[in-house]
Amino acid sequence: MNTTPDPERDKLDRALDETLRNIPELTAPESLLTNVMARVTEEVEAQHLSWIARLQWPVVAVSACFVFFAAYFSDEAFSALLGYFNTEQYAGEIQNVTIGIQLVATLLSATAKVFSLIPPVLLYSLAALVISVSTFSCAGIGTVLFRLTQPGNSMTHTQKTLL
Amino acid sequence: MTSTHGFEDFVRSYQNMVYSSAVRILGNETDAQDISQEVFLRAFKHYDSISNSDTAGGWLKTVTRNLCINHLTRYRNRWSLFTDQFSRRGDDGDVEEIVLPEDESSTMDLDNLDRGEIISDALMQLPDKQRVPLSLYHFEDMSYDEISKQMKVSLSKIKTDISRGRQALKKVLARTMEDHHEYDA
Repeated sequence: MNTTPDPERDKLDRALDETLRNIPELTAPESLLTNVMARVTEEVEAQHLSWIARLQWPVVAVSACFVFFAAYFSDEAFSALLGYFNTEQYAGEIQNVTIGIQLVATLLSATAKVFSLIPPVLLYSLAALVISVSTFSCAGIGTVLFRLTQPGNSMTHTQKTLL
Repeated sequence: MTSTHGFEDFVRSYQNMVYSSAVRILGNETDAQDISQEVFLRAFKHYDSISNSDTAGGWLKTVTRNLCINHLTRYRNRWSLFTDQFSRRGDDGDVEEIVLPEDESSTMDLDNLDRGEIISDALMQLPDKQRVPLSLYHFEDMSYDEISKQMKVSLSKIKTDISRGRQALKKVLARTMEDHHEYDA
């Protein structure tokens, strides 16, 4: 193996190192900034939407609690209504209607009981929350539908994902 | 919420650096644009912490490098860098011949900038397995060992690939210098 230093080769090595060191940065195309900012805007929109989506879970949780308490406190009302509609006057004649009425009555009674347990401030806050989420959801769907019907406007990545 | 106006200035400041790194590692301008977008999108998510940091450039370079390597390993089957057994042109010890455009090799006044452009173009023509470690070594200031770990390739193969890539570039450089009577001087 030839280990004798080759001056020409060393010179070339140094020239290559120097050239590589001095290679200037490439200029990014204008479209890069435009595309990045478009995607950032999408990201901001997605963050807004994700917050709305997150709010839906508390609403579901509150609703689940409501159903639980309704079932818990409605036992007495349910028994009374069941006894009333199971009298001989109604028995065997309009059984199906009776069952329906029983259910509605039970729910109404339970609702009244549960609402009476909730402080008014909390009740109105809950109602406001439900209405806000519903409004935002409708607005979001409306935006998607509007963009879908506009030939010049394509949907954003987020809206495609939502669909 | 992060200010998109401030972020636009941030992108303007670093877009050339990120784009250059991506192009040199990927060897493809379209892929480099996609990766650059992804890098800045990630930067936007961490903008509050990196916007006023002195290490923002380093952070962007690291993310760019990692995303590029992930992209190459995930989406490019033709990239044989991670499979030492895979044999292809250039693996038998020969150095690939790089063909330069006529107008570049016949430039009358070859200053450093022109030479840089020629070598830069030649770099793009190298196979991925040589260009990637070469770019990481020369432009990202990574050591052989770091490149080996990052790319999960043996140290000896990294050294061999960088050496072959350099030989190919030296051939181009020698040719351009000969054309302009610099090599003999």
